[in-house]
Amino acid sequence: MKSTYFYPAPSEDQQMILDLVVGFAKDELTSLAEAIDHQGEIPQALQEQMAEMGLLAIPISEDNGGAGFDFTSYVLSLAEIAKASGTVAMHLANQTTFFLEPLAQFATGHRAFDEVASGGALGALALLEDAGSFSGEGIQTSADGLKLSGQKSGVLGGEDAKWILVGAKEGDGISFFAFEKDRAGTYLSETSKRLGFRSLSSSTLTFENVTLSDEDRVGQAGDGAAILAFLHTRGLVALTAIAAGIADAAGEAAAQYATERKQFRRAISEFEAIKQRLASSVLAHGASMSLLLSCSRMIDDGIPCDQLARVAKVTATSGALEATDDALQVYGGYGFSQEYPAERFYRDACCLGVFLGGNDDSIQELAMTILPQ
Amino acid sequence: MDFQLSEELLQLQAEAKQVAEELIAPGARDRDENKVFPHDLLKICGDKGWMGCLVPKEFGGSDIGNLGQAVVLEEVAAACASTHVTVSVHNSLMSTPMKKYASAELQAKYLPQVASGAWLGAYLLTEPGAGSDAASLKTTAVEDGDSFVINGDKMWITTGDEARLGIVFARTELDESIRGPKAISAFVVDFEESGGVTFGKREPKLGIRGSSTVAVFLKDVRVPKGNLLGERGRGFNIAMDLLNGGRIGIAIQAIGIGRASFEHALGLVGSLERAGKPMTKSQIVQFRLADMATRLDAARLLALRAAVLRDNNEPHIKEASMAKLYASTIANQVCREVCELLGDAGIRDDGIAERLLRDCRVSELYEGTTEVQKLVIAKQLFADCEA
Ligand SMILES: Cc1cc2nc3c(=O)[nH]c(=O)nc-3n(C[C@H](O)[C@H](O)[C@H](O)COP(=O)(O)OP(=O)(O)OC[C@H]3O[C@@H](n4cnc5c(N)ncnc54)[C@H](O)[C@@H]3O)c2cc1C
Repeated sequence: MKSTYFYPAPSEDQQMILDLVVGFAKDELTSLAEAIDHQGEIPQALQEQMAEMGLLAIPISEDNGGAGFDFTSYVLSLAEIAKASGTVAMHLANQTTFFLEPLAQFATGHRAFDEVASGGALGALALLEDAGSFSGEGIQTSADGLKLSGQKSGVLGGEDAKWILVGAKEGDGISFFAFEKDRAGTYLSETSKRLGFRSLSSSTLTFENVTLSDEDRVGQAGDGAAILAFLHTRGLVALTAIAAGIADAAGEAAAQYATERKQFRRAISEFEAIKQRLASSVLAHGASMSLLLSCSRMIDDGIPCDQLARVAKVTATSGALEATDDALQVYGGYGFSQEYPAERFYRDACCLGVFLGGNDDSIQELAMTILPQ
Repeated sequence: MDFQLSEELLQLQAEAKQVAEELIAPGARDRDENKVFPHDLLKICGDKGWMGCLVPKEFGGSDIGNLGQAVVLEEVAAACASTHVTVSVHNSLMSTPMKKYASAELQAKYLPQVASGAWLGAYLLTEPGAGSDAASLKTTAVEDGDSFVINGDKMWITTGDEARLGIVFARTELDESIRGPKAISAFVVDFEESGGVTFGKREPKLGIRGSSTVAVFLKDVRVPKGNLLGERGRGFNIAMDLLNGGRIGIAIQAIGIGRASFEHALGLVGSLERAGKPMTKSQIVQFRLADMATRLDAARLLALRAAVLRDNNEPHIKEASMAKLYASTIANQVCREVCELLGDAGIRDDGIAERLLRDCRVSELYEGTTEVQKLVIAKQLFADCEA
């Protein structure tokens, strides 16, 4: 029996949403995951269902139009959903953490919120630029004089989004704006899919003198640093949850396969080498969940956790990569077949390290934390 | 110790590089996306002599040996892994047993077609229940007059439905007391002449999608007794001997794919920036590239050593497994690190790094998994201790 990493036990509220999500993931999502991956698209009906269940805005207060659960409930839900479908979990994180949360926190009453929270339209964050890192360094896009010009690349889900949240230079600082992608001067200049998380596009958006108004603002002019930090920390924790879910799913599937598959007249699960491969999922999942819960509880209690969030994300994403690689190997030739789930877990995990500026950046930042100022 | 390729091999390498870059690489993405079997490219490979690397010149082969084959096919693998695996299996697993174990009559009939690539070959060992434990295979070959009648299901057969000729491994001793290796014999099956050969659908795969991988169903397939390869009951040894050569081929495949990914990254970093400075000035980038280049070179040295030993008829079981083990492991690391290094551009499916990552993964699975290579190496290590 796999132990739980959830100590102290979940609150009543947390248990309520978890039960709902686990049921949904097991009964509905798991069977759809393969088709979503192959078609590179989340069916409209499923999107509507998730919106109705309130899954797009789990950690946002009811006053602000969300479902009113805490951040811990949200990331645990993400992990469960990622276990069924990495790309659906990433889609939810993209709506919640990279769009709705900053709106709820920094721009209550913004026009985009209700439409996205209710599932009526999708949002996307357009922040990173070709040479940029998540610290905000390298942002060239300018919003001076409320005219937006520049280019954003790797926008997750940029193709299907109606609303975009854009970070740009304004004066000496950075400002954020949320507006419709069809606003004059905004172009979807490139779009493709990725190796994994196939329902979300990787898009390049180009802005040519797009007219902005104060109504579009998310946060005050030049206040972007706080929003960046908010997005970054929560994003890292959300990615940790997704990585944990994928590592867990890969391990469970491989363990099941290993007990059924016989070679040399015994179940391959009896081989020490196979047990080693299976254990990497247990290691990755255990470490990720412990770090995840520490981070999410700090966020719920209002304690800064940007450092631990980096530790969590680096640990969880590299752990998930190893766990999914090992799980694929346990399947032997069948691991290479798209009729088995192992290759999907592997493709998703190979992408995880890249998101939010990449693990190399996080590692550099972590070294700074033990250097004398 | 001579680490320099001969003039002749350098010339072959240069020619292969040119053909690979100009003719093979350009369609690789399309073949991956649309699962297109590389018929025209195999024709080109045939014209160049690469379908008969190990076939004597008298039969129309180029007879460049395992070393020559390794040097040439690395270029093919770097351009398109799907084309590579098709050529590699044809050479190592099909032309080799024809040359080494087939009767003069069979050789005269088949080797010229094999060497030109007109007739493609497949290797039929694996079954649904017999993967790593290949000796547990269930396909049977029963004597009937002057033929053998073969029945059974084969799984994961590269080029199966595109092949004219197959090397089939089957049990010729049905007596349960004769188990495992000693019960197995190897046959040449001419898929057109024998009848009774049908194919499953093409396996949908993570990578090498331009190659064909199918289940092959053998139902009352009748082959003349003369199609027995080597001695009856020696089939498993033949299968393993072929895999020693095949493993060098897969090592080379991994090296080619890894090299392509590495070179792709190396070509890009000059024009990219990271955290506000040129990527080439970043130690993260420099050190990663240095590691990749070192590993790829080490892998190539292992593979070429095994090829030379095989050409010289010296023991090379351990060396072939080491080459395959190391090359496949590090090539996958290289492919993953390149994707990470290039960031979102590395994982986007309009670039080549993600295809190389997908193509590469199979090198740790076929012709003996990574675990099987380690079992082979460890067994040899202990045997060496006792000797
Ligand atoms: C694309 C592709 C093309 C192929 N082409 C061909 C072909 O042309 N001809 C052909 O005959 N075959 C071919 N194969 C089959 C391939 O060689 C087998 O898939 C491989 O030998 C592994 O067998 P399996 O898939 O049954 O895995 P299994 O043997 O079931 O292995 C499952 C897992 O158990 C591990 N394992 C098994 N035994 C042990 C042990 N004793 N100790 C520790 N670990 C163990 C394995 O390493 C693996 O991780 C191909 C496979 C693929 C994917």
